[in-house]
Amino acid sequence: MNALTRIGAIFAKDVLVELRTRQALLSMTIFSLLTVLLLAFAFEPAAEESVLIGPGLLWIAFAFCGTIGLEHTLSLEREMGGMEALLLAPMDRGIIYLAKLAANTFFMFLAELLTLPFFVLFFNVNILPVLPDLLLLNLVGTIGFCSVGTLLVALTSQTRLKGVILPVLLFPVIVPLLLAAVEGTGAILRGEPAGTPLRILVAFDVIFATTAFLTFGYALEE
Amino acid sequence: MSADREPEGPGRTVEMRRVRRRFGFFRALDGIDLDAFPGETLLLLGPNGAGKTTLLRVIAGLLPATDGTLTVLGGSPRGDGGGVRRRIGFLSHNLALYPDLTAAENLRFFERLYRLTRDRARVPSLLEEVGLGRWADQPVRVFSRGMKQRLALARVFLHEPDLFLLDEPFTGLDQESAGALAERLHRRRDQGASVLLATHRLDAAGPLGDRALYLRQGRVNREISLGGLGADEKVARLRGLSEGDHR
Repeated sequence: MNALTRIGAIFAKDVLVELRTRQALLSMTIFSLLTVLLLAFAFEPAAEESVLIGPGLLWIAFAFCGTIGLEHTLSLEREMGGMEALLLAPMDRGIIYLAKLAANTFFMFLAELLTLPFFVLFFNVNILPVLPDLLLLNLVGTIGFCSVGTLLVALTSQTRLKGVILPVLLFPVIVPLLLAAVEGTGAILRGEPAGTPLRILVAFDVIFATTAFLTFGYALEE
Repeated sequence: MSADREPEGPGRTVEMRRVRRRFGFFRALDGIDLDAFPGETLLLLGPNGAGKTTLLRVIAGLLPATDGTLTVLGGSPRGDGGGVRRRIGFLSHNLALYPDLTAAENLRFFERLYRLTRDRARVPSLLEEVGLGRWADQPVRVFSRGMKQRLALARVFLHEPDLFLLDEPFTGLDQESAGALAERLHRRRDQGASVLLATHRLDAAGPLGDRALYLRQGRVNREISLGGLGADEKVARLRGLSEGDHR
C-alpha cells in the first residue's frame, strides 16, 4: 500500500508537470506523426500493402517517439536535483522505477493513440473492427519498450553522449519485442488472433520489468 | 575521531571509520574517521575540493564508500528499505525541487513520498516560516535563488529529521533568512537532532558550531571543539582554522 501511494505520487507529479509544460507529449506525438507521414509518402502503399508493411512502419514510429519520451522523464528529475530527493526518500529504489515506468508508458501510449488516426488516414487501413485487440497489443508492447527503456535511460543519463548511447543500447535489446509487436499488429490487421506474439510480449514485459526493478538502484549510482 | 568526546558508547548519529571514496584515480575521501552525536552541530570546513560535499553524500547514502565502515543512526543509509533515510534531512547544491510545480505542490509531493500523516496546516505553516507564504501557489521556476534555497530548506525540515546534512545552507539567503535558519537549527539541535553542516560562511554558520572538522584533500586535517565559546570567539577560531586556504 505504501509502495502504491509512492508510485502514485511520483506518477501524478510527472503527469502534472507534463500538463504544465506539454513538452514530452507534444514532441513525442509530432515526431511520431512526422515519421508516419514521411513513411507513407516514401512507400505510398496501397490498402493491401499497408497491412503488410504498415505494422513495421507503425512500430518504427512508436519506437522513435518512445525514445524521446524516455529521455524527457528523467531529464525532468535531473533539472534541479529531483532524482537526489527521490533517492533519499524512505523507499525501495525499485519504486522509482515502477513510477517512471508507469509515466513513460502512459505518455508513450497517449502519443500512440494520437498517431493511430493518422496511420489510418495515410495507410488506408480500417482499424475500427479490431481496435480493442490492437490497443491491447500496443499497450503490452509499450510496457515492454518502456520497461527496458526506463532502465537504460537511467544507466545512460550520466554519460556525456546520452542522446546517442540510449538508442544504441535500447534498439538491439528490444528487437524481440519489435518483432513480436509487428507480427502481432499484422495478425490483428488481417483479422487473425495475435495469440503467440501477445504471449511473447507479455513474457518480455515480465522478464525485463522484473530485472529492471531489481537493478534500477544500481543504474542510478554515480 | 572526536577529540572531546568519549570514543565508546551508544548514541552516535554517524560513525565513520577509515572511509575512502575514489572517483577513478581521484581520492575524494581518503580514510576519514568521524563521529557525530545527538544534540550537536558539527561544522565541516575546508577549501574547495576538500571532500566536504562527497562526505555528506556518502553519509546520506547517495554515494557508496569505496572502502571503510559507516553507520548512520544505527543502520545503513543505503539499505533497510529506507528506514535510516527517513530520519535524514539532506540539502545539497541541487536543491531537489521541481521548477514547474508550485512551492506548496513541491512540499506536498515530498509529504506523500515520506508518508507523513495528512496535516493540511503543515505545508502552509512551513512556507510561512520560511517567508514563502504568499508565494505558495507560484511555480518555483519564477523564484529567485534565495527563495529556492528557502523552499529547499522547508523540504529538509518537512519530515523533522534526526540528522541534518546541510551543504552550504546559507547560500543565497539574506541576513534575515540566515538568522531564521540558524534559529531553527539551534532549536532542532536542542531537541536532540544532529547537524552536519558544510560551509564557507563562517559568519553565519560559525556561531552554530559545537565542533569543527577541517578537511583538506579528502582527510580530516584538524578538529577543534567550540564548546563554551561565544559566537564571536567561535567565528574567530574558525577563521584562524581556515587561514591559508588559498595560499
